[in-house]
Amino acid sequence: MEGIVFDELNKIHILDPQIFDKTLQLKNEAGQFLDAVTSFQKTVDDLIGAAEKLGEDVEKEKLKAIGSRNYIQSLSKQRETLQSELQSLIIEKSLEIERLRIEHESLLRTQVEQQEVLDALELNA
Amino acid sequence: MKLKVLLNRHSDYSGPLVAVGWSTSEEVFFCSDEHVLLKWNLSNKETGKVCEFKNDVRPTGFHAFSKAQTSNKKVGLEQILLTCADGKFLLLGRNGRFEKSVTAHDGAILAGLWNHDGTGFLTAGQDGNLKTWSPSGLLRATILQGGLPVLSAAWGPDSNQILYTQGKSLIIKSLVPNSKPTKWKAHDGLILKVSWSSVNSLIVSGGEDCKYKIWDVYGRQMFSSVVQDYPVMSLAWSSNGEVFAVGFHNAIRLCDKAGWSHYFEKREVGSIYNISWATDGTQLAGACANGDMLVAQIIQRRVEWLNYEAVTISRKVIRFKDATQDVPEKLEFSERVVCMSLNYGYLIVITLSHCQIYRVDHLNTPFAFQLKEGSVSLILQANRNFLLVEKSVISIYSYDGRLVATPKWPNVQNEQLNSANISLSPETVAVRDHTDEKMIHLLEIGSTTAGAPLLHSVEVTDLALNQAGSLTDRHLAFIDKNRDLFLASVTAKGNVSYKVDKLGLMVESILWNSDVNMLCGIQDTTLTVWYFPAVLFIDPRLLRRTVVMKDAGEFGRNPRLESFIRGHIGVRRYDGALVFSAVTPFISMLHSHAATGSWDDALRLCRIAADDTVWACLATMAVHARQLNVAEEAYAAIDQADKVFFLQYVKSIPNQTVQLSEMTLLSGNSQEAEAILLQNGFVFRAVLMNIQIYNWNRALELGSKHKNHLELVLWFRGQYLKSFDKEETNGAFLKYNLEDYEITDEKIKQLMAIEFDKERKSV
Repeated sequence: MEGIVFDELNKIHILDPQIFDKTLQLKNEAGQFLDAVTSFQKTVDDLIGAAEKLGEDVEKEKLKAIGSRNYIQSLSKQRETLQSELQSLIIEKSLEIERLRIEHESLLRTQVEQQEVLDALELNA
Repeated sequence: MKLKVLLNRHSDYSGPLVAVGWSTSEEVFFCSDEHVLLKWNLSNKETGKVCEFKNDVRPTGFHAFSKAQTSNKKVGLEQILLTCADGKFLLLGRNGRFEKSVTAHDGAILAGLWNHDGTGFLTAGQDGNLKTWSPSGLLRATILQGGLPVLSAAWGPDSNQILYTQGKSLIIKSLVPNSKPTKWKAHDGLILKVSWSSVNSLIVSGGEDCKYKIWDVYGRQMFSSVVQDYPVMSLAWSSNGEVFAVGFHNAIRLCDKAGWSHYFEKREVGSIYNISWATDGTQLAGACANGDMLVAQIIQRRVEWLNYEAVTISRKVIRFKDATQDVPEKLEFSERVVCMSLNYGYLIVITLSHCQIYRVDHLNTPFAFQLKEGSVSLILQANRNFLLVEKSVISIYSYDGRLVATPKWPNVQNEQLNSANISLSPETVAVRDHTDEKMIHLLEIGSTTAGAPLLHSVEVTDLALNQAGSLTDRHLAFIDKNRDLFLASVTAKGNVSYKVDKLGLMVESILWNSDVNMLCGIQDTTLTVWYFPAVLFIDPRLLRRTVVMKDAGEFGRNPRLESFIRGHIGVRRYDGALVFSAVTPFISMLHSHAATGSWDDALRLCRIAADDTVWACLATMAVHARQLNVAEEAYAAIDQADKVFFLQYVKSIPNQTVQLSEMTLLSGNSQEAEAILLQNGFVFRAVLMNIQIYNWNRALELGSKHKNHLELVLWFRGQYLKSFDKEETNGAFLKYNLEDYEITDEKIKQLMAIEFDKERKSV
């Protein structure tokens, strides 16, 4: 009968043993391919996961960076206010020291005057 | 002087605070925008809620008046006036109990203030109206109607005048009907706040031009600040008138009454909308825009005397330092230090309810006593005693803490007393009357009856008693409204009125030396020292020669005399710097020699000093002490030949009384000289004296009263007319017909010889 063949082990085959072998081979190869695709899929998934995580991290870092930038900006403003505060304090202090300098000067002048009186008295004595 | 700033906030309410006021000296009320009145107790540092308002009450400010607010008795606020944004004002009782609500204005009420004695209040608003009200909230008068919004207003010192703002102008309006208001342009921007001190009568104003300025009641500018960072949001005089506080955005400033700044602090509190001082003037509270409650206490107040210095380093601690020793001492108190004074070797510290007296060289054992009321506003010291001005009582204590006297005057209001209108000397007190500013009350401490008041022709602004010597040396110097300086003797015998004489012109302020009787003053553009002001009553022609003038240009505008101790005058410049100026030490020595009667030493001193002013002082001192020989030499030294001859003539007079009379004549006081003669029966001399000073009418009066001297007067008159070749025109003399009297030269000579002989025999 055409189409029915026996192999070496005397098993009945509808297909030509050669084709059967080929088919088996194909099946195996298909299985391998499937594995490969699955593993590829996994790798890609991993990759996407990693990329997403990276994205999140980047986003986080970005926010952080914006925050820091704002902070730095405000810091410089803070510094300005602090500077102006200190500046006004310096002005107050310098006014105070100027007052004291004038007072000191007047006392020195008095000292000179008194010394003059003393000298004059010593001359007379 | 510095401020120690404390901040606090209520946990539930963080909205802006719009107004602030002191309930007691330890409790502050804050009015929040969130319809609630908050309080902050300083002693336990707790915040709380006084009362809540209805939601439609949007407060713009509040002001409280309390009658008997003293620091040791905890009397709360009597009545609170709360002004609102919808033109209503609310009257609240103690602890915020609602009493009355009155619609007063269209639009917001921007100012609401009780007057000083609590007999009424004013409200002013956006509609440009200004109204006065009775304490129960009944309309008294509409002072101002329409026009620009009134942003701020203040009562005058006597509650009879109102100061208000209109745009860039300040206006003072008297409550007397039909009086013309005083108006002046004060700032370049909108004026936001004004404050008027009841103690020193100065006005301070601040506005959107970021400046604060000080004015006197006539609208003269006393001070103008430099441009600040932000507009002035709030202003307030302290109750003692020494300093004022200015609130800005995120900052507060403490300024002296002369305008210069004591202290400045920036704090992140937003704008300070309102400032209120506690009654003792040592702490202030501020209402901040960010909801913070601000309280600032004055620390680092400083007093000094010679080499001693006392500084309050915190509320309850004083650091006392003797400059000749290294280690300062710390004096700690259980209560807050309210004020202190250091002079004559004693430090007086007033705490809330006690007074402590320390001897500078013996700090360990102070005397202490409890105060009557505990709200001391002024301490005056003299070398034997000191005076405390409390809310309603004036007391004089000795330095061992004994009460010496509690003088009382009918028209003296204690709140308005300051060092310019009350003065203390070792045995006398002088105070200016409040209703009649021309009147000065004088009181001898220890005497039960007050002396007659001294009445001047013009309003008196400043007065000061000298400190050295005894009652007989006591003089009162005072300045009147015209800036004329007068000197008055303090002792009025019986019905004899006080001797008053003009000492100087254009004098701004005066200060006596604390050890000897010399006076310094700011006169126009000079710093003048009167070495011996009493010269006015002894030999007024020497006044100019006993005065030393120094240029006061370096002090700038409105300098203030701070101290005159030993030979040093301390002058506070326009910018707050203290400048010392020395006077010659010889004057002090001369004064002490004169006081002890060591005239030989005084003469020797003058010869060494070789200074005309010193000689002139000695001359008058010697005349005053009837040291004729000393006076003669002193007058000779300053080329006063006429005085020398006169003194020689006086010396030749044998009779003491006549000598005395002639010496009195030297001081130009002919009436007193005549009185001395007449009292002792020297009619002849009195007649002669009047003839010599060409006081013919008086001579004739005396002559006709005592018949035997009439011929003398008529003869001298005849001689006088003959020498000037004149006809008799004097009606009094025309009554006498010369023909009726037999007047010959011989007869007169004989008459005079008899009189002189009589005089000589009477010795």
